[in-house]
This record gives sequence, C-alpha cells and structure tokens, in this order.
Amino acid sequence: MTMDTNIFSIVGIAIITTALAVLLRQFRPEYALFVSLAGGIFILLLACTGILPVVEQVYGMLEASSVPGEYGSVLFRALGICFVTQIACDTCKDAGESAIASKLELAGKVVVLAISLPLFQQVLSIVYSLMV
Amino acid sequence: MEVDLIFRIAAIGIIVAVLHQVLVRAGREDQAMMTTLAGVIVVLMMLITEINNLFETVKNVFGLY
Repeated sequence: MTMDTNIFSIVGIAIITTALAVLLRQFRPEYALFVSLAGGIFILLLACTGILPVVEQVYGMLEASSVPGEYGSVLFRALGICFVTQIACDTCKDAGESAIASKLELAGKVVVLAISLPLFQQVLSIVYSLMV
Repeated sequence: MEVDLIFRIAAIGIIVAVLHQVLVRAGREDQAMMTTLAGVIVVLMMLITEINNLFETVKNVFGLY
C-alpha cells in the first residue's frame, strides 16, 4: 500500500477522530484525550509504514555518494525520536499539561543532541585537521 | 491496528458518560466515580498495546535500538 492512495483514509480517520473527540469533550474530557491519542497513534503508524521506502532510498543515495552509513543512521534515529516525542508532547498539550510537555520537549532535545554529538565531534576533528 | 479501536474508545466514553449521569441522579456518587475509573483503566489497557505497537514500528523503521 503506497502513501498516496493511503492519504484519503488518513484524512478520513483524522476528521472522524476529531469529531468524536469534540463530541466526548463536553461529557467526559478524559475520553476525548484517549480518542485523540488513539487516532494520533494510528495516523503515525500509517505514516511510518509510508516512510519506509523513503528511508531505504535515502540510505541508497548516501551509499551511492560514498557517505558513511552512520550519518544516515544518526539522521533517521533523530527523526524517530522526534516522532515519538512529538506525539507524547502534543497529547500533554491537548490535556492542558504544558509544563510536562515542555519538559518532554527538553528531554527529546537532549537525546537528539546526545545522538548527534559524535557527528559534531567528527566535524570538529576535520576542521582541526584542516587548520593544522 | 484497526480503526475500530477509535470507535470502541468513543463508545466506552459515551457509555461511561451515560452511566455516570444515571448513577449521579440515583444518588450514588461513589459508584459513579468507580465506573469512571474502571472505564479509564479499560481504555488505557486497550491503548497501551497500541502504544507498544507504535514504539516497535518506530524502532524498526528508524533503526532505534
């Protein structure tokens, strides 16, 4: 199943989920949160299965340009962390817990920084070898 | 994961809302609270498997281990 045929079902799911969440919010606000979380997880799962060929193509391009494969790996690991952090962060914000959401954003930034710091170190070593 | 899950969660929400109203009108606030709590736990148990599913998919797609 490719992404472009799937986008209509994703749009439909998003609209139905929003309608159900708005309906439930006036009776029981916590179930509106659960419905929107379930819809978000579903849409993100569909997006992740759609992004799989893109990941393989980017790896292929990196390999063709003789860039070490770890660069692409760092890139996509950071992207995955961002996806997971974003869904939790948005859920917290929807529930009105913006304090937890901002701490979660901070944690996600720290993890992405920890992943990408070895690459920065390599850049610094290249710069150093050029200067000396 | 099926789209059914979203509808099931919404249905549980509506049922719990109705039960809560009925029990509060009947003067049983404590049981109304218990019903709400039970509904939240049921929905959370349904969601937690999907959250695990999402995490596994993201780990596989983006090579996070």
